[in-house]
Order: sequence, then C-alpha cells, then structure tokens
Amino acid sequence: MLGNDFIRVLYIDLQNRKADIKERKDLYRYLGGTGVAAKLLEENMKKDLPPLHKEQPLIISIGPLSTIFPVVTKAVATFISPHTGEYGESHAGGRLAMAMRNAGYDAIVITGRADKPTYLSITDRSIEFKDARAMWGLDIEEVGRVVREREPGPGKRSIIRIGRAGENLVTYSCVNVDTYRHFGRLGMGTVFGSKNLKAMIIMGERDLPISNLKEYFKTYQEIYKKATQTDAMAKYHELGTPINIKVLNAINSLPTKNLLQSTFEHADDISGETFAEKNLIRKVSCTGCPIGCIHIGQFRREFDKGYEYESIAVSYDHELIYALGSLLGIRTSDEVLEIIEEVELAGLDAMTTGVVLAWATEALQKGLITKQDTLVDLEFGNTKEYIKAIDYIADRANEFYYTIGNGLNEAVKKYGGQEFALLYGGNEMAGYHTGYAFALGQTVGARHSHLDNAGYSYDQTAKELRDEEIVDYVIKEEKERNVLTSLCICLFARKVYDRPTILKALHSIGIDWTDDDLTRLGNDIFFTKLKIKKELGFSLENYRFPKRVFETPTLWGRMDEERLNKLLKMYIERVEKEYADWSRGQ
Amino acid sequence: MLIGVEVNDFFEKYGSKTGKFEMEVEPGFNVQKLLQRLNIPLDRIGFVIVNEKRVDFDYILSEGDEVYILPFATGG
Repeated sequence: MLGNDFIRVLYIDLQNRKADIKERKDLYRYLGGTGVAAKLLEENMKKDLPPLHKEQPLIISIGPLSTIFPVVTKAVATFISPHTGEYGESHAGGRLAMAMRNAGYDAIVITGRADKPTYLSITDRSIEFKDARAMWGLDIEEVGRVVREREPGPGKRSIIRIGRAGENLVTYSCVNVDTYRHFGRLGMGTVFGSKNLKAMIIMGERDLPISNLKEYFKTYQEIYKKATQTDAMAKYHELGTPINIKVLNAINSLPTKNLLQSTFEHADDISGETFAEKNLIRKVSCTGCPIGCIHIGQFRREFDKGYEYESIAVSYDHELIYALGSLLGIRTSDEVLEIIEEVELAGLDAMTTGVVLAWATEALQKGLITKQDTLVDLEFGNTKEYIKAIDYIADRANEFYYTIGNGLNEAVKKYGGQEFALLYGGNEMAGYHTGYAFALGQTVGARHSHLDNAGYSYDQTAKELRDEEIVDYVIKEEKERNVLTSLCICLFARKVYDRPTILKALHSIGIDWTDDDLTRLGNDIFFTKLKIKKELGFSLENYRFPKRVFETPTLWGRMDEERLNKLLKMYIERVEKEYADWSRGQ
Repeated sequence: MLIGVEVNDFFEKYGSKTGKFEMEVEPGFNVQKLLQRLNIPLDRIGFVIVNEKRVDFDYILSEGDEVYILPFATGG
C-alpha cells in the first residue's frame, strides 16, 4: 500500500456475498504483481479440487509503482488454469491497475460461485453484487456498453468482462479489459464464467500519498524522458510488434499454416507495414503510459445488399496476426481483422484459438475428423469458414467443438494428431519459431508464455548456440522478469527499468530496497510458482515435443529432437537442484 | 557493380533510406560498409540476409546480390 508497509487485500466471497479487507504485512516482501498474486494463490488454492471448483480463488494484484510511474500499467492475475490444470497467470493493461490503485486495493481475491449471473461494482467505499442475468449471453462489446450505462461515476474506471466463451467454460476464454486489452491466456475468462461472474467495474477517488514529492517527481521525470526521448520504446509506438511479421518471415521463423511452413508467401500482405498503410486509424495507451503501443485497425464490412457498409475497429498486434493470420494462411490484413473481431466478441484467447483452428484444419485434411464434426470446410485461407468455426467453439456447438473448446491437449486424446498439435508445456504455441531457446522457454516457463523468459530473443541474438548458455539464459531471464512483473512494469519497458532505475523509483516512494533484495525477490517468486505447479501435479518428466516443430526449419535450421530433449533434461536437473536448496532455505 | 537492397522501415528513424532499391557499390565492398553508407547504426541491426542467407558484417558483396536488412523481432 503506497506509504505503508503492508499489502491491502480485498477478499470477495461471491457465494455468501461478503467482502473483507485485510492489511497483510507478511506479503510486503513480495512487493506486488506476480509476487503477491502467486503467494495469494498458494495460500488460497485447493490443490485437490478441480480448477473450476467454486472454492478455487481468482487473484488480481498491482504493485507499489502502479500508475504513479510511466509504463507501470499492468495488473497480474493468478488462478488455477482450467486449460492446463496447473499454475495460471495472465497480465493485462488498460485502466484496471489505475482503478485498483484509486480504489485503494493492492490485491483482490475472489472465491465462491454466485448463485446467479452477477457483476461486481467495486469502489473505495463499497462492494456491490449486482444482477447480471440480463447480460448473460451478451458479447464483450455489448456487456461493456451495458455496464457503462448502468454504472454512474467518473471516467477513471475500469470495466472487465467475459463473452459467451467464458460463460460456456471454453478453457481458453479471456477476460476483456477496457475493450482493447485482455487477460488472454490460460482461461481466466473461464474462471469468471465458473463463478457466474460476468463483469467487474472498479473505480475510486482515494488520494495517493507521496511523502517526498520532490524526489518522486524528479525520478518520474527521469524515467519519463528515458521512455519517450530515447529509442528504448520507440518501436512499440511506430509499427508496433507487427514489425515482427516481415522479420520472422525473412528468418524462417513465422509459423504458417499450422507450421507446415515457417515462411508465408503472403507475409507482405499481412505485415505491420501493410496494416499501417491500409488499416491503422489510431494508437492508444494504457493509463499511465506515454508510448501508445495499442494499434487500432479498421476494416469495412458489408452488412446488407445495396451498398450497406459498417466500419469496425479492433486492436491488432504480432501475436494476433500470427495466430489468426499466417498460421491459418489468411492472405489480407482486412481478413485478419475480421477474424480478430470474431474472437474478441466471443471472448476467446486469440493465440490458442488460432492454434486450435490450424490443428483442426490439418486434422480435417488428414481425415482424422470429418465435416460432420467441423460443420464447415476448414481450409487454410478460408476466412468465412474460420469465422463460423470461432462461433461454434464459443457456443460449444457439437461434440467436436466441445472437445476442441478444451484445447489441443484434450483434442488429441480423442482424435489423434498429437504430432502436429502445436503445444509447448500444454499451452498452444506463440508466434516465434526461432529455435531451441524459444521451444525450451515456452515449455518450461511458469505460465508457458513466450514472455516468461523470451527464448526467442536468445535465438536471434546468439552468435552460436551453446546448450549450457541456453539453459542459463531462460532461468536467469525468467527470474529477472519476475522482478519486473512483481512491480507490474509493462515488459515493453524492460530497457527503461533497469535495476538502478527500479531501485531509484522504489526509494522515491519510501521503499529502500537493495539490488540483493530484488535478486532475492526474483528467485523467491520463481520457486513459489514452481512449488504451486508441483502441488498441482505438473511435471516435465517424460514430456514429448510435437514432431511438427522438428520438421519445419527455424532460424537455425531444423531443430534436432534429441538436442531439445537434452536441453529440457539439463533445465530440469538444474532447476530441481536449485529448488531443493531454496526449499531448505525456506 | 549493382546490388539489390531492401531496408526495413524500422531504420527510417536513423535517417536511412528504406524500402527496395538498387545500389552501385565498388567491388570488394562488404556489408559493414554498406550499412555505414546507408546510415544504419550497426548496433541496431538484427539480421543482414544476402540471397536468403544470413551473413556477417564482413561478408563481401558480389554483383547481383540481394541484400535484406532487418531489426530483431521483439516480444509482444
């Protein structure tokens, strides 16, 4: 809590419609964000109950620097993932961190299941459980509009909500945050749905106590200048992450058509440059960020005969263009935006949806499933059919869509096709087929995200591949990113917030930590997450990578299966040894 | 000798010419000299690809080479 040495936690019990606030001094050593959220998950989860059991918790946390320093914009959520059955963590920007800060809560823990569809209205003075029965079934856009209209209050508020997919417990449903941001991966939207929780609106008008305004303001200005007047973050504003499409395509790293290819003959037609020229209409920011990395693209749709058109605007970035573009063989930027819109309205995770559909396309081609299952002619490049399939997933239209609505892990158990199911560590692949460090990194990362440890970066910058170095890199990088995300710093600003800058920012608000304290924090969070994963039964022993990732060239040529397995073994041995040491220290 | 060059839009902010164009260079000209002539800071380079193969800064260019200059891909 700003100005105090405790974490102020709001506990909400949906079942009994009760709320409580606790000031937790013991959590202060985890600072906030991923540290506090992981710790709160550890103490509130019921390891022997299924992920969607009403007693399982959902946690959202911010950090001490949230909103009051530039680009410290994220909120971190933890939960037991209904998608992987183990540790779930997801991050989102938008206005949520600011709203929690203004409402005076460092963390929120939600347990129980409401007896009817409900939305929560949270302010600094009240917690209200409101009837959402009329909102059940509404898409992301509609429910956002209804909550905005129903709830009076200033504009400084955040509305987070789910769509049909979350209601129907599709395991990769997202929570939409303020229209353009998401808790995307691992099924936080499913957890909302399981709790009969359709939406939350959060706002507050508490003062932010800064004791040494002079030092704070000086530090703020230094960081602001670094973020805006150097080129540390410029690329995120210019073309944004879609700049990656041309780059990855040129280096055999752009997963295309279910990774049958790692270059795409239409890459230029869906590149960041093409989106900027044809579709980009504005760039927006999360609250407290001066960069403007959220790229909004517009496309035109004919909604009736007689020249009747509407214009639709959605946000786009590299991962979406990969998963709903190249991976599905989509040839134009307009069509990619059309598919993104459908995924948005249904409330699905874009990456997993794209990977699931790419697998289904190949499974249909190979005869593992039939059109009786898919109901549509899934084929690479066929936008209209993919749009119908997205609705079928969200609605769980038949047995096949019910199964793939539980992700590829479940789909391959029933239909086969494991060898071309693009999964790393149980989660669908991100958009970088760069080589060994990426493949290892997403597999071993605590949340099976490419952002856990940025293996794709090692693959690109290494002059030669050294096994020890790869293992060392993914471990060190994940620990360091735990420091950044415990502070809720957007990872795009990782070059702005080096260690001295972090310490200076903390000092300016009265938190006198040392470099060693930060190292201890990164380590503690790393192993706390591993402890949770172990308690939930996660293990990488006997793990098998899908064959497809070895068949298609990367930046470093075709990966050798034996070498990747060896890297995984080296990683497990090293981490287990460190974990034993850490456990003894605890 | 004449070579084909494509410079990614990323480098525009450094004053580099971007897009696809042809350039006349002297025999024995290497990639590093090409980058300097194009005003591209060496520490901002991700990849230089010549005829679809990744090369180092000391690679000597030949008549008709197709050079593609790119930054690193970043996380998103």
